[in-house]
Amino acid sequence: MSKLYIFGIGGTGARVIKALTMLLASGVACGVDTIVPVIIDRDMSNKDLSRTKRLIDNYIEVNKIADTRERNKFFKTNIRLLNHELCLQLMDNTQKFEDFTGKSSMSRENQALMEMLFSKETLKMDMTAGFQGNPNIGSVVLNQFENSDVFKAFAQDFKEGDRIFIISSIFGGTGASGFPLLRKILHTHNVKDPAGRVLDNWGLINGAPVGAVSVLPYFTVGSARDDSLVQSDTFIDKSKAALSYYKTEDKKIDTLYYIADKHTSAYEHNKGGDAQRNNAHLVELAAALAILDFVDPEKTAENIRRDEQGKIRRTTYKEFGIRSNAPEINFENLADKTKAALVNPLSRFLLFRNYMKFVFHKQHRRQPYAHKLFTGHFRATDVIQKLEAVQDQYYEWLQEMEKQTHRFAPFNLTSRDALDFVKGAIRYQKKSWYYRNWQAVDNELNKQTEKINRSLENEKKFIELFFRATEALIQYKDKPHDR
Amino acid sequence: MKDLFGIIYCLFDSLFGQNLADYLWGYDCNMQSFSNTNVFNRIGLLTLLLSFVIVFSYYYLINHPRFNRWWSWLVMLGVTGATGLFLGYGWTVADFHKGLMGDCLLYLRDANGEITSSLIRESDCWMFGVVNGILSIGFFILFSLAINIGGRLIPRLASRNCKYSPF
Repeated sequence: MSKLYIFGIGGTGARVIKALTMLLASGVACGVDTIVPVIIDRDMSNKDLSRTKRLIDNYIEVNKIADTRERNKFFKTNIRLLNHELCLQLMDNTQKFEDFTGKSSMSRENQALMEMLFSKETLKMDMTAGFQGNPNIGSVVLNQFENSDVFKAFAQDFKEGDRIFIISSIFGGTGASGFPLLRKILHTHNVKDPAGRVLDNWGLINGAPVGAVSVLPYFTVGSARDDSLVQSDTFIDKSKAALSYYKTEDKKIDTLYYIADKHTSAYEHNKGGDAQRNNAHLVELAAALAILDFVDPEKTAENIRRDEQGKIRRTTYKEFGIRSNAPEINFENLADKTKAALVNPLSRFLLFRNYMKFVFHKQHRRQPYAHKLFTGHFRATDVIQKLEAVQDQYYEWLQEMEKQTHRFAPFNLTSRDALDFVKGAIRYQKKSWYYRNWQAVDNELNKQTEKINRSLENEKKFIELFFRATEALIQYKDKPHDR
Repeated sequence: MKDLFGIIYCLFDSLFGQNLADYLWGYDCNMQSFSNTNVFNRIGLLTLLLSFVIVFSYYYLINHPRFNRWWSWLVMLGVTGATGLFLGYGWTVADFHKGLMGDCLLYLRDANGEITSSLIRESDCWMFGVVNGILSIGFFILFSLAINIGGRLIPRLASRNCKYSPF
């Protein structure tokens, strides 16, 4: 039972974890049994974080009906939270940076030094909504991870064979500062809790494989309408500065992924909090794929290069690339391996969602697959409601990626056709002249229902049945492009 | 056993008349005995076969997720009934016009040999068609029940899309 602990730092961290959750819900292959996400963000009220939290809460419930002994791959990978918390709460919640540093109680000389190091605006900055693109503040304030209960739970929970992955953006405040700090703590020997006890399993953590994705600028923000200090003009310079610092991380990380998009989207300027609700982006999906790449058992040799003593011999650097660029990316633009990993799971889960939206209410009383199993109040059961909530979020996620300047639009989301909703030259299978449109799905559900293990609970039967039916209907086999 | 169909049809012989029944039993006017072929068996077997073919088509060939409601089954039942009706009528009316029915069964004649009344009319053939239709419907229901029960006992034999239609 290997686990992957994912630390998602800042807003980008939350959105990449959301993208990863979508991939896992749709059944994209994952090389570990359990994912343990931890989001580190000072801005606990930002909408991106709350959306990710809601998604993960629903996923965890639905995962209980995804029987791993069966064929089903939807929601197959476990997601577990440490102490039932997604977010790592920092012990100190001081609002103003100068209060956090204790400037008022410093000597005059130290106060003067502080004023030299930090601008007036920075010192007076309200950190409730994060570090607003100031990694210099983040590196000071975030230097307290190890004091949190979630971090202690992480240490207690860690086992031999587990891995760690860090997600951060390089051009903001929280991510850019949090990544090297967290990496440093993970490799510090004998880290102690506030009571002075060495955290459990810390030796294992010190030697555990660590991967990280650093997201380079992929969006810009408009002009500030308030006192926000975030300025997208500085994103490139901040990235350059951070990258030059990250050089020092060489041989401290097993694999470091860099993801970027020159074709940036412009977001509305929000300092943080409830208003920070950025649309999903292909870059976040690519970053989520980096996580899956890191735990891919077939890539262990290239991702983890260590000597006999367990020291990192060489850091592997990877970038995400696509086969061809266009303002609108669909599956055809993706590299063969990415396409092969995504087409079937994403399509099958969308077909499942569309069936539930357009057909289930009409057909469940009429089709043999649902007879005495999925009728009556079945749809109103808590876990099925949560499954449909994830499907709604999945659809919203796909819609959001379509709205970006650099759109990822693999599906025709307005299509009501059962098997004709993918863009590009991809065809799932030959169309049946006899079972047209949704009839083909009902026919397949009725066929597959006989193959389901009868001892399963109804909810488990339901997800197993839909996986088998969508798997039978959508079997895209990739033909590699000529090179 | 060889008279089974005849016994079943004759439950309704008041509808199509004793003389037509006698013809169908195989009555030979010359021999004054039931020495001709028992037509009940032929029509009955064909009706049974047709009902089976229609039931089988519904459950295993048509086998469609949009044609598996109670009314879909009722449509097939209607088709079976109509097929049985036209089969029964067609068969008997053809024999009637071909003159295969013995004179003693067809007419009542006076001492001069003049026909005083017809004992079998075309309307009797229609009524036999109705009886055959009823019988085919009965067979259809029996076959449907057998397929439904069989499908529940041996799931892999069940119809994929119509296994709960209509029961």
